[in-house]
Amino acid sequence: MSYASPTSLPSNSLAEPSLGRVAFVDRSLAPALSLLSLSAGVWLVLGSLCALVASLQLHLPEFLSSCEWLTYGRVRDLESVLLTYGFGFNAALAIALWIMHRLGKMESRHAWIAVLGVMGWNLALTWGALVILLSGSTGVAGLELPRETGPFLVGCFLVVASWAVVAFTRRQTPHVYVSQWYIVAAVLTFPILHLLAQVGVLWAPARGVLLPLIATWHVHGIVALVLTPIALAAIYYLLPKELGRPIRGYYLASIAFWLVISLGGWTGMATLLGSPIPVWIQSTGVIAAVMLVVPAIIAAINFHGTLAQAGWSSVTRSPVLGFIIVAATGYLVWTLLTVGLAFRGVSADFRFTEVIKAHALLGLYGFIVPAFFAALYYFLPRLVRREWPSQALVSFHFWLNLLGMLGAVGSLGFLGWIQATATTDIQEISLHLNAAASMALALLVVGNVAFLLNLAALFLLPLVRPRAAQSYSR
Amino acid sequence: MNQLSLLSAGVLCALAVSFGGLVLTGQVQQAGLAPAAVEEGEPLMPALSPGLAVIGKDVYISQGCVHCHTQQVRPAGQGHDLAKNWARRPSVARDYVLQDRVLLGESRLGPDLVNVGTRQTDDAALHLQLFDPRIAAPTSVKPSYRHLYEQRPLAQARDGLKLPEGHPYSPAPGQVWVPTDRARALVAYLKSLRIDYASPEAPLSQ
Repeated sequence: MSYASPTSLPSNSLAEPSLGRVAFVDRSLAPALSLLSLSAGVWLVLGSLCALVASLQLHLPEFLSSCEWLTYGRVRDLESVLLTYGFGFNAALAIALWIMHRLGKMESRHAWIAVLGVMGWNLALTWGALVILLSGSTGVAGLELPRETGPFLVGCFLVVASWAVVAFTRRQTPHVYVSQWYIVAAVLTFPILHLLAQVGVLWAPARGVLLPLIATWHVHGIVALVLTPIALAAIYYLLPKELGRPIRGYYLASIAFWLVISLGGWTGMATLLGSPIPVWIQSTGVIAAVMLVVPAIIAAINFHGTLAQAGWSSVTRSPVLGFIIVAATGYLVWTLLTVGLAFRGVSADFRFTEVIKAHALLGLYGFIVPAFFAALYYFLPRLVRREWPSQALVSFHFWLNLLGMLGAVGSLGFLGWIQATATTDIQEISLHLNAAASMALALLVVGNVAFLLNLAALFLLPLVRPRAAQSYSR
Repeated sequence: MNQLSLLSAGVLCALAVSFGGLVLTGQVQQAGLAPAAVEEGEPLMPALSPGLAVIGKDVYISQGCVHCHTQQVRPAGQGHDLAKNWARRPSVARDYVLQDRVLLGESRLGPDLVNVGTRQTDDAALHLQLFDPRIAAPTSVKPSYRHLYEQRPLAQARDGLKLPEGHPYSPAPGQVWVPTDRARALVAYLKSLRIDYASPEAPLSQ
């Protein structure tokens, strides 16, 4: 097993004269990655809007109540679909393609086929989202989309992801970096995980409580085995580049990798504690969840250890680094909370309360979203070879995302705590805390809009001011 | 491990082990589960749902009710579900064997519904609860499902909703709100949800 020294990664400077091969690599990927990032941005804005509407309806129950399409249940289904399959997968595929080609120093050939795959994915998703809006979802978390979209989504995913795998097998560099393992794992896992769950839940439903069991295996697998690996790959790739020093304790990263990959399929069962499924299945989930402590500690050594060596003040160097640190810290806290919530006594009190929603929001806006944004903010300017039109908007987005995440997680977590412990009437304080959560979610929406504006300007600016763009690429 | 074949073999192995360990082993264990009688001669339970309730389940799914309502009562020692008298026994796997969509639920913003059919037997009250939950409970944040109701001339209506005086959605003069087929099916489904029978795994408490 050989490891790449992270400092030998391709140069990260925009103005580097010896870009050479790297410039070709970036240019060959530009159409696919532009489309993926733009789609991710649009779905994120729509998905976070759905989250806001749903939250508003929890303290203003008559808000939009005369429209069946926008009632709470529908909006929550849409939120989940748009954030996972809309934002999550588009951004994840963009990051996977880019890191694999950059680390393999591989130009992509025939990338237009991948572009078709991206279009197919987003068309299928649009159709599925419209079906949910008009007539409701399947009622299964993680598999809300109508079952006809399933094979189509998997097909399109395979088309796009195969470029990442080809970039790995034909790489021009002998060594392999941990980011590449994580990406290979994620792109191999999703098609199988999704197809098996589609068949077992929607096409040929299993019997009775096996259905929620498969659905739980799938929905937690999507997070733990697809989105988490890509987010970790982004952090492992970007942190050494931004800090200019190798990952501390890099030799531990392979242990963390195999633990994340082998535990990911099991940990979800701990969320079913007390449900009418076999008790031994619940117990294996608890054991797997507790073992997550090890990869969490390794991640802390790798990420926070590197940062400590570089000096904590370096966090302020760039918004990309800011997003990375939020993501690395978010991963640690989120994983430790997963462990905590897996204990029988804790689950007995907090299962079914808003603590669970707060935990999910922490994983999303505290870990996956900031990790993905760190990557997007890092590679998009290199792709089109222009700086972000507004650096101020980037910082603005960073702070809104951080404040919105802390506000939403804090208010919903507190509400869940009250739900679990209160013995008196909690209607009044629930309304206030849900209102606070709505304000925080509104911040997240504004932040996401800021990203989309900046992104649109990044792509459109050369059309408006062709000369300015030309002078930069020289 | 730097070759795709070795790396993917490891990754796929990890996935296969979790699928085999959880889903396939679960399938082997649960495959024989079927409706059963506690004592010979008693009816096999759970029984099939009436047709209207089956349609109502689709309405329940399409309205996203599962986002706020669970359908499971946890055993003693795992939460206080039984102490709250939601049912006289915990839910067991056998209760769900006839369902091809199991809506266990993840959030209890609203009450658990696995046994709601024994608590709420009055159609008119259920319809009012769906039309405007704030008639019965002014501080409730349950959504209104007015789109499941329509206005009909008073003369044609059999079971018009009796809204309180001055309700903001009072029907036009000479008209009355009546449930659509979807609302009737949904109410039939809710009333069909009950675990008031003993199961071989879980006898009823007194």
